[in-house]
Amino acid sequence: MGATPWKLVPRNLMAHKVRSGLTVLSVAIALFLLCFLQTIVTSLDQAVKQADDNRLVVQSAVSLFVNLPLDYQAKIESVPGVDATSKMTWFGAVYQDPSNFFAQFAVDHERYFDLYSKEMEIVEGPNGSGPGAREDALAALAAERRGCIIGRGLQRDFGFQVGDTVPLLPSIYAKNDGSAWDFVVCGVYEPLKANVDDRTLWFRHDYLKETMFAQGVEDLGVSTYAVNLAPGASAPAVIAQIDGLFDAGPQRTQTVTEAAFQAIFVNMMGNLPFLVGSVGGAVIFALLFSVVNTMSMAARQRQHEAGILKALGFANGAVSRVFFVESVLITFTGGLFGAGLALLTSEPFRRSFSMFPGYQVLPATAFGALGISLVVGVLAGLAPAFSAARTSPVAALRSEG
Amino acid sequence: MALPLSYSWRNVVVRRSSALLTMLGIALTVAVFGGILALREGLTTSFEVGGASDRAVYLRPGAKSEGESGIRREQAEILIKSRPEIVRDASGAPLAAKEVYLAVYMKTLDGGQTNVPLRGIEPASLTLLGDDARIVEGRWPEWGSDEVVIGKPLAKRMQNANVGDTLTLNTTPFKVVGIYQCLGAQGGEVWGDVERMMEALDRPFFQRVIARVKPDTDFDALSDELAEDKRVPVDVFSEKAYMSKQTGMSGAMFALLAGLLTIIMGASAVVGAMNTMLAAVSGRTHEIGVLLAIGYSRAAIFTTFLLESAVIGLFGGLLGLLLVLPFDGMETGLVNWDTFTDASFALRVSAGLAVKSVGLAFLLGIIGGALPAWRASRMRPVEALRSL
Repeated sequence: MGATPWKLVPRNLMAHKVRSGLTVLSVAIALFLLCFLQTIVTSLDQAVKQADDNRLVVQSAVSLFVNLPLDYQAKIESVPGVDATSKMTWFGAVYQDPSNFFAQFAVDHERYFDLYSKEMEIVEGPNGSGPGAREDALAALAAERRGCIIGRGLQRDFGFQVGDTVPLLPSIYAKNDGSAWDFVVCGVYEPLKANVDDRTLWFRHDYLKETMFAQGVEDLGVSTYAVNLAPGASAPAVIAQIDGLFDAGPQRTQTVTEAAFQAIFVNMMGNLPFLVGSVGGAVIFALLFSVVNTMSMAARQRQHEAGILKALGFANGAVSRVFFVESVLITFTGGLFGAGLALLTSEPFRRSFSMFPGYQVLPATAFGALGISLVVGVLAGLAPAFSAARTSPVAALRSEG
Repeated sequence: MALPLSYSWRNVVVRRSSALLTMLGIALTVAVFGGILALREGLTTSFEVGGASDRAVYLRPGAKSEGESGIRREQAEILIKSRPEIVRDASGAPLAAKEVYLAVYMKTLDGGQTNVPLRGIEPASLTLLGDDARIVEGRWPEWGSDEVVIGKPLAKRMQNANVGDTLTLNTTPFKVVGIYQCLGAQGGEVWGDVERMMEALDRPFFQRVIARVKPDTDFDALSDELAEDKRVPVDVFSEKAYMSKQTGMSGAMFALLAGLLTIIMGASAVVGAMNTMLAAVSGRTHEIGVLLAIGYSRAAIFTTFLLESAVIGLFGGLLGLLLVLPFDGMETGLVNWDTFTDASFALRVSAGLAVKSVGLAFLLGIIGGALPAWRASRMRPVEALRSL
């Protein structure tokens, strides 16, 4: 391999600042978008993967919207291998406006936070944060029938503080007088896992049950039961036993692992990976076209220069290598910016996309994007490198450049 | 004096490979924009076409959709008997039906599980739909027996959903006896006798009352009147208004997604167009000098380069449209976020969407061409002529 005029690389790039800058910019934008799209898919996968293996969800076999009878809880707890259970009922109310969507569940307040101690931690109670906050908050919740524990995200987004009353307008559990349900904030939790939403409100199931009973609803039922397995218990065996209990009715159950339950929701989003894949493919091709275009134009404009280099005795390969390295440098720089931006915006995005509580740009995603930027740079660098190599010095020198 | 349009056109042809690559970049942006909006349009249209303005939907006050609603039997019966706006048939019977609605789990052919709308209907439900609903295979269920019919798009995508199959609802087996077709979103449901379904699913309430109302019914006034009604407090909507509300959240999500992706991909496409045009301008410096020297105005130079970029954008848009058009009519299904049930529908590329897509491409071309065109128009003729 002969000498290569490497000094030309930075000179050329700086000589066409606008073009180099624009190309870096377009690569950065495209790769940022790719990271974003890929993260939506991986964050959904993570929700499934991070689910607790020792947790089962007992739901109706008929429908997500059919409640299970209240007396199922004692029967489920009698199954060997079941450690603890809690009711979980979807409340589906709205704070002021439907656009303020967040989830609310009615739960067994004495058990729920023990059951989910690996997923969330109560960090603030009536006496502030610090040690003892959890005990204070749970004591306040036990004393206040309308009490609730809210996520840090709700505190951040709506300014709810411990002691505040939060009015929610029901859409499923309407009150006869048409009024809102009031909840008193007793504590604030923080998620311990990325797949746990920090914008949920947990409140007392007995408050829901008794209020509805006073309105003449006798068997309110429960959306789902959360079940923690005892250490060493086999999930398939426990699932078969629970579902066997209710096979003849009154409500057949479909008990699934927490991962499978999450997967049901992911599947319901339809063929999201396909949609994301198609858009991602379009982005990569659009990027490739754009960069190939830029590099070819750059090469065409510099035919004259290529001719001089050859006339000076540089080998074909030397000229090609200069073009090639320029192309890869430009796309790799763009890739660094794009992937870097995606990493930097990961946390703010997670906060603003309540739909994807687990939004987190993985290192693999960022490296993948960098890899794609290199491949695009190599492909875009090949065409002008070949044409530069083929140019005869005489013809090139004659060209106007 | 303006330069002829053919000048811009010829320039595009001369630099055809670079122009083509730019067009392809713009085309892909337009394809993503158009594709997502075709999904949105298909979904919203499928809900809207089924809604008639002379059918009224009565729900529990505050309920945004049937899934959240609940009307007691006595209330439903009083409502049907007493409301003056409900049309009666020749024998004097009100043209109204009490219906049960529940999103039930069904398995898709690929092994997934999704929510499918199940509807308990009465003979009057079919009378109300008239020609909008018909059987395409098998027959309608017999009233009072455990039989269901399934919407055609569902039959193609779900397990256990063809004539002769058995669908078990909780513990009661229902026989699939027919496949029906129905205009609009109700075309993708499972229908059976309302009384049988209430029993099988242990549903204490109806979810809605649907009725034909007098053609001159003022729904706003009716709504105010019913809100005050102490005996049967209900919300009322025209079916058309109700249906179009059922895609609000999904429609907004698709619009947001399309907007977000278009802005990002569009920015990339604009950069591509800008690069192409900058190269075109610098490659033709001498020529621009000549044009300026023979008396063409700076405005004419600016316009001609902008036009050239717009032509590239326009062709990119048409190319993108070609990529999107094959999706028109393609059948798909996804969960509608407003009802949380599977919605079967066909993608739709309307004339309006086509115009929007090409318009977007044109705009991308103009934005990308503005800076290079301005640079061309600011050249000093003497220096430009000197460059070779």
